[in-house]
Amino acid sequence: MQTSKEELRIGVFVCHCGFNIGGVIDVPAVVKYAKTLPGVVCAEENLYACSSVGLNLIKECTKKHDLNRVIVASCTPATHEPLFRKTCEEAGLNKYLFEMVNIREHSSWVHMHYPKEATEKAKDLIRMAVAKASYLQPQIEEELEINPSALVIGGGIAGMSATMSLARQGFTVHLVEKEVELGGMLRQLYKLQPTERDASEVLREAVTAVKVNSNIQLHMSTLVKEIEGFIGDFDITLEKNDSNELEQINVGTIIVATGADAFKPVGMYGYGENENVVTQLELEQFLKKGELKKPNNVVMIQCVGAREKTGRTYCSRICCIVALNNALLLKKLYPDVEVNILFRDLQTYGEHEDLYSEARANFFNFIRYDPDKPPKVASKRDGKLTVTVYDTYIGAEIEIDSDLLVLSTPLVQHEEGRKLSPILKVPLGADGFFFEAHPKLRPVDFTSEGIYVCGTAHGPKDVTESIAQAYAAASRAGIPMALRKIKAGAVKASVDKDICVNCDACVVSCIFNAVEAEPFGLPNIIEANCKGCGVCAAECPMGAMQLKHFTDQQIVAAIEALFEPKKLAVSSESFEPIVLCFACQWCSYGAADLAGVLRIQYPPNIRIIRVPCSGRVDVLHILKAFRNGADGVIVTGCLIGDCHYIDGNVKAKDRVDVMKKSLKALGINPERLEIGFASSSEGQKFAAMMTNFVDKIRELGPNPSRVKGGD
Amino acid sequence: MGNKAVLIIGGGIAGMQASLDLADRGLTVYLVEKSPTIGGRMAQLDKTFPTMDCSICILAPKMIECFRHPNIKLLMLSEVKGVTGSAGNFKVTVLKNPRFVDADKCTGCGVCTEKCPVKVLSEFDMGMGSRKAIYMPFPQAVPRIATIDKNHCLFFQKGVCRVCEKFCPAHAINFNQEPEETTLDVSSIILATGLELYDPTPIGEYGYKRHKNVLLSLEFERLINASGPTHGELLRPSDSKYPHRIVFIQCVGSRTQQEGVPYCSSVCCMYATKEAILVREHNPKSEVYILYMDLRVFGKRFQEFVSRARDEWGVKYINGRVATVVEAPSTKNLSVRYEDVTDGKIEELHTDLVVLCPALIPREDNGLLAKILGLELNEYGFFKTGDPLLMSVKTNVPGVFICGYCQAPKDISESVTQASAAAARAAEVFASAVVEG
Repeated sequence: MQTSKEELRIGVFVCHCGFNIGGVIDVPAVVKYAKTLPGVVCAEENLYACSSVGLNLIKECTKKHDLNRVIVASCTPATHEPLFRKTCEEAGLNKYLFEMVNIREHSSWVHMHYPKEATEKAKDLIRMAVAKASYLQPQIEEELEINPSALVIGGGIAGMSATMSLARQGFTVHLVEKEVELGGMLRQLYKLQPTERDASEVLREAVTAVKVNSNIQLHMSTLVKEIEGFIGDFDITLEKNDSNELEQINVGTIIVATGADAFKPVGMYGYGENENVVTQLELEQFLKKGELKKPNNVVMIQCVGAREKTGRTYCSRICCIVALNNALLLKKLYPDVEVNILFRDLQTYGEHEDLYSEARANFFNFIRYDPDKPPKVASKRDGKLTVTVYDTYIGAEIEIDSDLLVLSTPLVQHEEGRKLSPILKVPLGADGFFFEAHPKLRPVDFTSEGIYVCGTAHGPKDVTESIAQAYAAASRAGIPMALRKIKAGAVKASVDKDICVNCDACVVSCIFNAVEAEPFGLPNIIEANCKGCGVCAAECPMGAMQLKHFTDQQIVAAIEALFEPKKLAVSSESFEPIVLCFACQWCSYGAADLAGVLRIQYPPNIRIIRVPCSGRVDVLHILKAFRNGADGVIVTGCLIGDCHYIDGNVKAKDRVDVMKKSLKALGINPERLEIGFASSSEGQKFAAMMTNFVDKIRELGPNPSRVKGGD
Repeated sequence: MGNKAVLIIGGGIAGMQASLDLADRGLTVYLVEKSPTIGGRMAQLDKTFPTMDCSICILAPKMIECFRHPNIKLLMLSEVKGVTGSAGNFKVTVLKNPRFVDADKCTGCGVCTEKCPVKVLSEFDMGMGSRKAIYMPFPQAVPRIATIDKNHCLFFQKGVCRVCEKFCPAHAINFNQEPEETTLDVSSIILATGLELYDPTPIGEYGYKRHKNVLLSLEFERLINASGPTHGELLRPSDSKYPHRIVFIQCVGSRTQQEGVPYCSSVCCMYATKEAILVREHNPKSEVYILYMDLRVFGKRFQEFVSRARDEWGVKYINGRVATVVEAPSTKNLSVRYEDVTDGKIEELHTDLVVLCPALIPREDNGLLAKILGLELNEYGFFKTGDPLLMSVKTNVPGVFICGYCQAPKDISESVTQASAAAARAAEVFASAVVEG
């Protein structure tokens, strides 16, 4: 194992990225400079570091110069770090001895008109990386055993489909359903689009398949009470609804398929007051049971309680299709019934458009209403209704006499889903539905490994889509279970038992229960629970708690390297602020990347240090920065509520607020310290934040120590 | 032991996702792609809705992952020629077309491309920019290997030049490469052939190809992309000036019983919203209109995205059906005449640039693949599912699955979902073969 005492042999590879970097930054000058840095034994340039040529050069140099640290200065680690790490491994170097410097998104792309400053910035960033790299340590990634059995929560069509697929893949599946029967919302449905298959027939087939499969263990009338553990080894406590009897099971993966409820529009359009006002789901059940009294004139109102200005702002996806389907069934049953559909935008996406054509061929009246002038409903004494709607096309209000008013209401998160979210520690979105890891590329994963989502618990969707998503979840859950083991990242907390004073600040700060208090002993780190945010390390008053690969020593080395004494001296005329920015790897670092991608220009005074979470930024880091001459420090993280470690950014904010007070006592203007939040989609905001902050610092003038030091 | 291999046809995001899911669980994947690079349509997009992620930035790592995965074998420039056998035991004949560049030697340095004297319109940039006769389709192409386009190469056409050969430092050029046929044994097959754009030239009233400043949405997407032909400057084709007012027209050749297709393409309302935001982001003084029939906001966070576009970005949505797009001969400015659907009045919008959102259609060669595999196509040319209600990824042939846009209109997220679903099905086929011995 290498130690920091061993002779450092650092290789620096600077990428031109075609013209992307080389067009702005003087790459040969940067390479020349890198060679002068302590420990650097080789520095090379590449047209494209990520091309096979570039990667081979890294490998060759690593062997030739016997490198024990590799630094690539190119683009964002968000996309290319895995590639370079792999290359290091191929060259026989532990991948944690690799460090990446982002001189494209964070320099050449955002300072396009300042080649000199962009070049200086690249040099600074490389110097910081070299300093950090000196303290990098090889890490070993633990292998986690995966129990090849799964828990599926929810026995609707999504849950049953996911269960079936996993069972057919050869895994044991525990299917938990809170009701006495399987089927979920499918039990209430009638004819399913497309194909008009009978829902009860579909249900019967699915239930039979689940019941006869020997890989499946059914837990009926059961709720999930507690979940502990992590991917591969989840301990689940189940509780019987009726008897409160508890059962313990262990699974490797979990699929959430808890479904959704239909919104009940009580108090809207006479619902709950007039029995001729029903929801689409209720109409479907009347049709199913054959209990519908023949109506003469049906009015359907779309988007009831959906696509609102606040609250349920979302479109519920399936209501237009359900409405047309039900209306066509009605028409088949009673050919002379008149159908009026009051809608905003008809959502018959994809091939569902055929349904719209069919509806028009059946002479349904489609009346577009303005959400600012919603329809009005009045009940007559005989229970019949008068619907008044402003028809935008004729520019006047029209009245429709109706004997059946059907309200299309959105699907909403199930109460059980809401209860499950904190038990599983997986988030719900603003719409109340489960929030996936990435809306485009990880649509059924949660950010927490080993937990997946499918069906309407994730958002409104029809039977076909729920099933497809269930299979997708079964594929994703099947991967670790097929492998039987996976490697866990090595960025975890560790404690130096010689320094620890057993104050338990770390225990209190960890939201993932990864640090356990030992009675009369040192805190115990449960690595499997540790997500690697580093909040505990920042909270530790002794510096005993550290985050591997983001230790205080490494971060402070980078900070100290930024402030080269010879550059610090300033006179008030030649003042160029040096501003340090801490950016969390998820959101604000992504926002900085996006600013680059969008070529949004901001002042070249910013130097970014990447941290796993803004919550990792220690008071010590901020103090070090100011003491060494920083004119400003800005800590940036995810938007409040979006933190990937739940509330690391809140802790960062609290810390910054407290710090501001102490700065005053130290004679440093608290205005020099700021905290900002940006989601990874807010490149513009990030750039604006940086511009404003640099402007402010420019006005405040240099850090007093810089002026004194200069004399 | 069952056959561990799966064949995937199409290297777009759906094919890549299915490949990664299967390869990650230890199965062997042959990923067949017709073009010189994987990445598909998503690689051409500037951003993705509703998160405004940079498309290539989130795609490139997956492309590289496919390339480097020990369990994925990329078969580039390849086509499936024949299939025999059945689920668990397919024999597939694949024809690999020559690249005329030795993949083992090429380092992707780009010298050949620089030196090649022949300029060809770039398919990747929708013909709006150019590439060379020896080329890589785009900077992040995977694999990073040059390809000679035989139809434009001077040596192949006239027997002269060989400049690339002269300059290639790796001596990777090989004009003598021949097509190669390989046979693969696989347990299941997943199709992910993606989509094409409907060419709206036959619908004369939109003026596509007649008026210089009428673009297709994907052309616009390249135009506004930093690595595109104008390096991300939104310049209109007629005079390379910044357009001040831009009109997006929805449902061009879709949702129609006349020229075009009857279905809804599912993604246009949202990508037009995204593109409209991009216009405003690039030039806050510009005016952007979206002329639509129904605003289709049915996906997660879509309505919120549109609300933001309207309220925060000032994108103007008009519920209108376009009658004609007329060009002013001197200025090449356009006027869009439309019926305001809300009140039935005929209105006119004067504009500098029109972006058409055309119907997205299944690929033409789906027919050929269907024939080879014994599959059926539906009335629109999408692969027909075995059971459209319950099993959207299954086909009428056991062991052959479909995912992505080649099954039916859908967005990236649904394509990824379906790709994983198809992977689950393929994993089931493998597992059952193991059980049955």
